[in-house]
Amino acid sequence: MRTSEHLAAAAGHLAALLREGQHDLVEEPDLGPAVEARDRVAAGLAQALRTVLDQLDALGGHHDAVEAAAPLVPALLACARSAPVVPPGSLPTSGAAAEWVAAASEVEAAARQASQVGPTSATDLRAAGVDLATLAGALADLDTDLTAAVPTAGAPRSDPQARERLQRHARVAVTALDGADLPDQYHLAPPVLGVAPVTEAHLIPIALRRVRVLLDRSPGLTAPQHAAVAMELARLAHHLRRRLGPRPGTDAALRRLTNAYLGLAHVWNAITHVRGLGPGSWDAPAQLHAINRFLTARPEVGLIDAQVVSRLTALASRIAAEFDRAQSREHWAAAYQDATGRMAWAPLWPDYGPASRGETPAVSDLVSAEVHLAGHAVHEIWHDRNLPVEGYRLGDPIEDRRIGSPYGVAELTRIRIALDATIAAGRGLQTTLGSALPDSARSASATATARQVLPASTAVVPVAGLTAVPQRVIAVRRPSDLPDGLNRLAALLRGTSDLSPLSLAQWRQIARTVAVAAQHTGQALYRAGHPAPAAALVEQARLLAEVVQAVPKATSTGRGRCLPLAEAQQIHRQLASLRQAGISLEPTHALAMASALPMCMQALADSAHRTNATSARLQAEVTTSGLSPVSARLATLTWTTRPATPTVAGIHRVVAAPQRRGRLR
Amino acid sequence: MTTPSTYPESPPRAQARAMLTWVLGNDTCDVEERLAAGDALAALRDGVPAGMVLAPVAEMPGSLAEVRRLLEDAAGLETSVRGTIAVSLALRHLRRAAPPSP
Repeated sequence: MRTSEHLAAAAGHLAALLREGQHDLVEEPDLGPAVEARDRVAAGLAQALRTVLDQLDALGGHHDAVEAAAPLVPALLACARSAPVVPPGSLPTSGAAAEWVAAASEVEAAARQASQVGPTSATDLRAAGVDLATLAGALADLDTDLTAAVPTAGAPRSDPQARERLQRHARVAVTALDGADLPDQYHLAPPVLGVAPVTEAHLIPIALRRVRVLLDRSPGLTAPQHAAVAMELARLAHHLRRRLGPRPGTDAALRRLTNAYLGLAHVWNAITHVRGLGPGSWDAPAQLHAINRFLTARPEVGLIDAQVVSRLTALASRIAAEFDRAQSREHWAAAYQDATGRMAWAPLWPDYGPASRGETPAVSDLVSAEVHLAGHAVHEIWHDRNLPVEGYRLGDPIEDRRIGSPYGVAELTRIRIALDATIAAGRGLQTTLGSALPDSARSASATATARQVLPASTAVVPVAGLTAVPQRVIAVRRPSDLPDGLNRLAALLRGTSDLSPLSLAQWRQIARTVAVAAQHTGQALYRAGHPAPAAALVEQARLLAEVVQAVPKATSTGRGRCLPLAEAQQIHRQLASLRQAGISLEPTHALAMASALPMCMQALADSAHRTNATSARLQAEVTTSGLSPVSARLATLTWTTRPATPTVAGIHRVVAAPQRRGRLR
Repeated sequence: MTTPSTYPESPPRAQARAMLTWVLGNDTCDVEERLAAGDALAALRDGVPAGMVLAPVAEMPGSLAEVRRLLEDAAGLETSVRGTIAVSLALRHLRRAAPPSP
């Protein structure tokens, strides 16, 4: 028999143990052979895996996979040694012990075979490695069952942490050995490093805080990782509920929280048109699993206290925040039908953000709208009135085509609604337990509204005229993104009502970026044969640069609102990289930027004007800090029509003309 | 961008997954059962090779007992070590949620 056949036979025996359990091991004489065979399985898997990894390493070119899988060998050996030595017993009489012994024989045969055959192809070696790592992962579960099946005093109890490590290393090894030929390394799960053991009840709040940190540090969880987090939180809420006893209000609140997390897990399991583009991290689910494992093993521990509840409920918001962060990093891809009707995938770009999250859901219609910005109908808003429903756009990075993914958007909407339901349920629990939050009364309607909204997501009605205040920054990764970045910058500036002298330095940086963008755009348009708009933009850039120079630098003592600056930095980086590479803007992009720039300038001027007009306190500071001349200068630039000075409206007209006539060369 | 291929799932396994998804999302079901359904779904998903995705399934009402029967059928149809172990792990989760009477 070949190695793979021995492994398949071993898998058959171990699978039977997984399916049927090991309860018939209660017969004392069979315990010894079963435990001994378990150790033989672990040692045999370790030996075979070591051989396979050695041979794979010798072939060259598989260093990363070998390095990722190597820790599984000592983890297997540690698991084998973790149980007390049981003297070999007689021949097994129970089914479970017989399966263990048969599995051990097959694994040992596979190990011998692997070492005798010598080097083979990388594909075969990787396949054998995946099988071995899969069996190693199953061994951890089988070991748990073996321990549970024999609860008598003196029975062998292996180390739960060793099993935990074994499972983690097995997962990493499987994915590392599996993904040989895939160009995107999204599948390679990184090792779990940051999990703290939970061995006492008082460590649970600390572990929950650690989960929060792990979520904040996450590079963007994948759908399975999100599902795992939701499952573990549901299990934890369920543990709390069982420990709390009959307290009607709290019991109902905890049941609602459990259901909300299960609902979230359901959504993550049900979606198929959205997937993460990175490896994510299993740290947070592993840390939560450690808590639940402790609680499962210690049913007598009573742990309900304010700290645990507070941290459990706060995690709902952190998960939602993690999801938001991942969107802004373009972590998600959605499926769409390409021109030939085949399903393809493209990264999701975050577009118009949610409506105010705090508002009570009132209407259950999902609607979308084409928003015309400077002649481009490129933005699609998905909006459920007051429900925080996201809107997205897909960008094809090669052809710069805009494509839509209705299924992807519908699934993201479901995720968002499920996330909100967990937040609402968490607030409800906190209110019930006495730490009231002011807006907790909303909790009741979120789930009900979600149910109403979901069926509507398949029947989307386009409507006109929707507006939304963006909450996110668009990543500008290529020149073709610059117009969208400028549009977003204008929208973010319009949403900023608090420009103050404290944030003057930010305003200065943003204005400088806009000036540089206008300069670049003007030069590109001039080269493309559009001298009139080019001259207008260059002139506007010059005037804006003068204003920037006049803004005092010494007033930078606070942070202000960071979103516009973040968008400006995206634009600045792209422009700087173009300049360093000596690359000019393409005429198409320059025209689109020229359409967006007047809005940016208008928004800049408006923000300065708002500040001067609305705050007496700021006015005083403005006077002392020297903003007044700047504001006046901006007013000259933007609100007064003078023949000699290009205005934003004038630029708009000049730029739009060649576009309408299709004169672009 | 890489387009993931669809994992060739046996009909009983796909049907079991459809029922498990329904149980997980149905808040009239017992919480223990829903937790077991979620764990079983995770086990099935973990058995899918990198670069492949599970095909969409329409959720189907069913009991965990029906799911167990389907997965036992599916276990006999699995040809790979990973598939065999994945289905068996899913069954293990369901067994632990409702252990068979002695």
